Amino acid sequence: MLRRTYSDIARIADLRLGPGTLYGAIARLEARGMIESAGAEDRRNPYRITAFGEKALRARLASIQNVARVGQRRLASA
Amino acid sequence: MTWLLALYPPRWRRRYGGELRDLIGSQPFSLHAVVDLIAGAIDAWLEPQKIPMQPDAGPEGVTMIGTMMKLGCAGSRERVTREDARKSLAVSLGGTLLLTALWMAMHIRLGDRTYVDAFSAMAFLVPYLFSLRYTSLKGRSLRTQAIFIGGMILMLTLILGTAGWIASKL
Repeated sequence: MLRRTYSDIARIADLRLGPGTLYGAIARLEARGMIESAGAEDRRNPYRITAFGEKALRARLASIQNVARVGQRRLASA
Repeated sequence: MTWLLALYPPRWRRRYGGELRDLIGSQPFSLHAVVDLIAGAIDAWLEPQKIPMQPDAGPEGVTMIGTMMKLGCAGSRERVTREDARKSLAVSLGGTLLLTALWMAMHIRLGDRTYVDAFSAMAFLVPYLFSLRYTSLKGRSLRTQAIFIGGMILMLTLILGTAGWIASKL
């Protein structure tokens, strides 16, 4: 189960994430069944990744990894 | 800034309004956050997210990667590079110089008119709005950018036009 806060997301992504952008992304991810609310905790509203979200994330990361690997190989032989 | 939540669709507000209000309340006021919330509201109206995607829909791989690619668009915050900052400054300064020259030409041609005077602020504000394409609105769809910039220009025109009309009556 993954739980991330606003500051965690900003730090990991190295972005200045606006509140409208963050909740736009949360709404899209939740509508697509990739994340779900984990229930409010004090003033925090954690979300957890679903099984489908995890599969999608794995596929996306594998795709990025593949692009990076091919890119590195091409650069090395250039 | 919480009053900006009124710009979001009612259904969206019912689901995320409380959480977003908490988040906004914990942050200091900033122009970037205001622009981001308005653009987020435009996105929410344009993409109502009525039909949740089924987890088992479509073949694995292509569909999921396609979905994730789409998630990266329309409202995802992108890093503002130095190049973007330069473009933003160029649009802001260049546009201001151009519109100021245009305004001065109109002032010389039409004389001392309250309507012309009222629109002097547009010479700075319009280029500034367009410069946001490279900063606060970067990564948003062209439609969202057009609605944001067009809407703001329309609002400014109405405000300044009214100010000019009031001034002409005094």
